[in-house]
Amino acid sequence: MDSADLILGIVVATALAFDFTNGFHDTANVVATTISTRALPPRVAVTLAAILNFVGAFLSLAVAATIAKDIVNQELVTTTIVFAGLVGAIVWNLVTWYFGLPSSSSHALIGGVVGAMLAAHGTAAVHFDGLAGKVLVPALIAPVLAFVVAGIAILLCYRAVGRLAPGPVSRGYRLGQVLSGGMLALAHGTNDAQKTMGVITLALIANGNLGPDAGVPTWVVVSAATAIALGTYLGGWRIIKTMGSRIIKMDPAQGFAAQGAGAATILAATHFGYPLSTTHVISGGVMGAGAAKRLSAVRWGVAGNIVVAWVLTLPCAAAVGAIVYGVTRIFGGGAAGPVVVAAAGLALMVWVFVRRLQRGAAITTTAEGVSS
Amino acid sequence: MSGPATKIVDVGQLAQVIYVALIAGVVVSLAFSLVIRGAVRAGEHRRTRPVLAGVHALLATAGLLVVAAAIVFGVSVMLSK
Repeated sequence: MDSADLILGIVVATALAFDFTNGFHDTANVVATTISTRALPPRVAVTLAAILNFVGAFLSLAVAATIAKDIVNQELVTTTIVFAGLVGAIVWNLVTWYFGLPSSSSHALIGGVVGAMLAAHGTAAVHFDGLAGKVLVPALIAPVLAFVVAGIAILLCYRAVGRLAPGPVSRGYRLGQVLSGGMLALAHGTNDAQKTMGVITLALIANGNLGPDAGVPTWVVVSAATAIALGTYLGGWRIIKTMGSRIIKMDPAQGFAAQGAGAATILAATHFGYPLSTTHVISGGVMGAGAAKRLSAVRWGVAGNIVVAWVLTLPCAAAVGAIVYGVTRIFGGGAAGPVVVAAAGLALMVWVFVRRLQRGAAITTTAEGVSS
Repeated sequence: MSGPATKIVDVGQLAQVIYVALIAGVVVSLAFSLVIRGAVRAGEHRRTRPVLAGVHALLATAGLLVVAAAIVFGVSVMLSK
């Protein structure tokens, strides 16, 4: 195995690790409302989401193509750049996971790759029109769209069932949440797993294993689907708590409307290849479903913290990606840099997890909602 | 919108995302709410007013068909890419 293949192996492993953290981090988006309204027990909800995330990853490849072709200049990409971008995204995902903030894994990944690319080749290497048109503008529109759709949907739901007895209505919407949550998990799998597929494809092209116009290989699809499903199953329970109860206290109808709005927005955007943040979308849906009932029902302070995390994600992940690229270059152009950074990163991840576990149980959500 | 912004952003494509999400999200939520309404009302009137119960059951069935059709359509659109 030569140096280039070793770097490629590290990149693929790092990309799958990112995909795992993506599933781990974004589980909350998919299952939080289902759990907090008691539509499903936590373990069942998370298992269902993991299965549907796996299935969803096979549905479309439009987003993978956007990541691989529309954001950075493919001809200038090297495996070291892809590696640095991935590390930037993983570090930002772990930082926001540590503090329980539902930030965007997608924007972390895109930010990391763009930052490493800027550090390596300067501004000419980034397709800023693609970045604006395919990432930034949809990032602004998507949460607002989910907010509006969920707001209108919940008003119509209340109108339709207004005078009925609350017991059967709640049971009905809990059943509906199993469907809408399933669609959301499917949408999440199809949009988010593709980002990793796109990055691995980019690395394979950069290493000469694939031609510039090649499609995503089947083994990449299968491994990305598996990694995101595993991450989803192991779950981000800390963020479930924030998404499920700290933004608003939801009733089953609101949970159904928020999940339905999120699924509709993500599936529509995925069809056209927009790499959306599922976090942004479902947060918008949750806030819309809460605000339509009563503006003060939304805990705007928590919502504000999430917005701050969103704003910081692209530049912070880009900064980490650029720094990591700089560090790997200190060791020369061979495999030494990525090996050292990967080893250091692995040690840091183990330390963070052990420290987190020492500070208390990771599972903070119970079947009744939230325990504290 | 005109000028450089339209070159960067595919306005037509984004508009499609907006109206598809809006219609799908709102219609499915309303249809499912009508399923609940129809089912609950049909249960309430089953013994006393069977004709009205039948109308509500029909409403629930129609709502359920709309929801099922929307899910099948959504997944088939994804598979066609």
